[in-house]
Amino acid sequence: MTGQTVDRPFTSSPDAAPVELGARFKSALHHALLLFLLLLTFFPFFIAILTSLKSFQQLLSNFWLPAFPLQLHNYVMAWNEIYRSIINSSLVSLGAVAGVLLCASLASYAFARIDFAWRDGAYYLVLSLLMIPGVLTLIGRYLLIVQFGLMNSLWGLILPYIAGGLAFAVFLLTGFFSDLPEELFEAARMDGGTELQMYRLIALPLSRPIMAIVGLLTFLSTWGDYVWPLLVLRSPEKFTLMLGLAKFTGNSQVMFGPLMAGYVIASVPTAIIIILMMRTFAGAALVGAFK
Amino acid sequence: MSVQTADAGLDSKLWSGRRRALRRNLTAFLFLLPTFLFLAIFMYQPTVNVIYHTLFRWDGFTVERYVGFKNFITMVNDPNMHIASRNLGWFFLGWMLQRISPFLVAELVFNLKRERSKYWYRTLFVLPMVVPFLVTIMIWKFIYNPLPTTGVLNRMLGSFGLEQWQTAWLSEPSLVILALLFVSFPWISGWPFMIFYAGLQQIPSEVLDASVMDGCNVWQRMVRIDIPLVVTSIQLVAIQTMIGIIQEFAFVLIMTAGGPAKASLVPGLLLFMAAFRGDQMGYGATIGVTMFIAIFILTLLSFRYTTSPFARTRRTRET
Repeated sequence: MTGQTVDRPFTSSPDAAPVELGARFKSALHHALLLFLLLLTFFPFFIAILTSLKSFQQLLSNFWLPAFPLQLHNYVMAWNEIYRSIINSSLVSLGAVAGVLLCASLASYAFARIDFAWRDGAYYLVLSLLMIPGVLTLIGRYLLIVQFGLMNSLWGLILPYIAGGLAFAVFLLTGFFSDLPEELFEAARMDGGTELQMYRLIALPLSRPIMAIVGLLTFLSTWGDYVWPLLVLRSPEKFTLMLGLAKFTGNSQVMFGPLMAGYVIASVPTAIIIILMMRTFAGAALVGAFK
Repeated sequence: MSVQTADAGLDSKLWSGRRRALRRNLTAFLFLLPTFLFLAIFMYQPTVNVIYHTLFRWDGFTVERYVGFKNFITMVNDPNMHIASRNLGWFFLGWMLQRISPFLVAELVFNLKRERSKYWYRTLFVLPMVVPFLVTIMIWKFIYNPLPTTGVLNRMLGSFGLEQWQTAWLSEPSLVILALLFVSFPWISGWPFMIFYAGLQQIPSEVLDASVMDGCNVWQRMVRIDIPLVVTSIQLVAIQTMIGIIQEFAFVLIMTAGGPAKASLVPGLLLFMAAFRGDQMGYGATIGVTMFIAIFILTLLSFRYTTSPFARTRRTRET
């Protein structure tokens, strides 16, 4: 990777050769530095994957390199320990995604395309929630869940997650819906279309990418949450993945192999989600949304 | 006669216009209903409830006694709060540097010559984001494992012959904050890197070309051109980080639970402990509201210095 030729129109003087050599040295240094940083970045994850394939004896005798035979049954043990919490987490996250997408898209359609009284006021009322830190409402939400009898229930996670994701979702979707060309809606209105029809047949089909982004963001933030499930859930069979992993970590003091295997398994769903996100060209749009 | 009919026509038009407006309002109301139902129950009500109860001695259920500003006074004089604030100061400095430092790496990648290598470094640096944050934390707990045989860091020191440096990293009061700050070293992978890189990409190529023509070296370009042009991204990351740090406690809860002996206690954890482990909901609410005020001020600053979501709304209204 150091063998690249550098095209420099302004250095074609007689001493071009030494400059070229210097540039090559610099480029090699440049790559070496980046590769070193990459190595450091990936080191913990390499170690985790390596350890996930070892027994405890193998770990003690051969810490840094792969040890054979590979202990694939570590993954079976880990799976048996956490598959239930993966199902729970999937139910919770998918429920939250469905709720956020449905409510936020309806509300955003109204904000972006219907001219109603107090529109600005209502919109600011939603946006102001972006400034409310989660830690402030933690106590209040907890008491509500207790009052509603939703303690130790997955609904006690899904419903507050929907509410918590709405403000940002409405912010993103309203921006997107109001950028859709007015002619489309004008034509539909001429043909006597109702707002609900225009929402369903025009706005929704045209906003699949942004809906995907909102859905994936909601999925990731709910999937990785630890504190709220810790407060709401009591019985281990209701645990979400993060709680399940924490419990697994507490239980397996020296079973590092199965534990690391559990960590690897826990990363697969988020890996899939993030790759999907990159595929839906979300990277750029996502960054655009923050700016 | 003819005047009358014209009047009636105008009148009925006005009425049908009003009826249509009424109908629009009703439609909009129905579209907004589910969202506001959720927000009213799970966002507005808890917020108001919590702010109101800062003035009470309150366990959340049966005990509810008005005490005025006593909770705030208790908080200001609470030795735990003093420790937690001092710790937060260190975390604040460390995490701030962590979140800004990817800018240098973004520059390193951005200054590569070939598009293909840029693409690969960028992708690889972002790749560890697929691992949930909590899992990363737990892997780092394994790295800091106190045993000389199974702790990654201790084992590493052992293989370099530095046995005397082996220690229980997370149980040493003088080391624990430093150890926590070192988690996920070298701190590149994450959304700040993405934001910084995107910011660099948005610098017009004419500007960069002109800097090359004028014989600008890389360092000069970074200081004189790149940083001023992506300063909004840097501010955005800084402010988001501040807001995140002030309320952060899940990380500390998992790594050390504030220990050893409060050496890594932070205000968020104090709130959590007071409210959910000590039945002092009123006191927890007080800490929460104080954090909210701090965050509110920082958010206002962020709107002052960066493009706010409200600017976007204004544009939305025009269309």
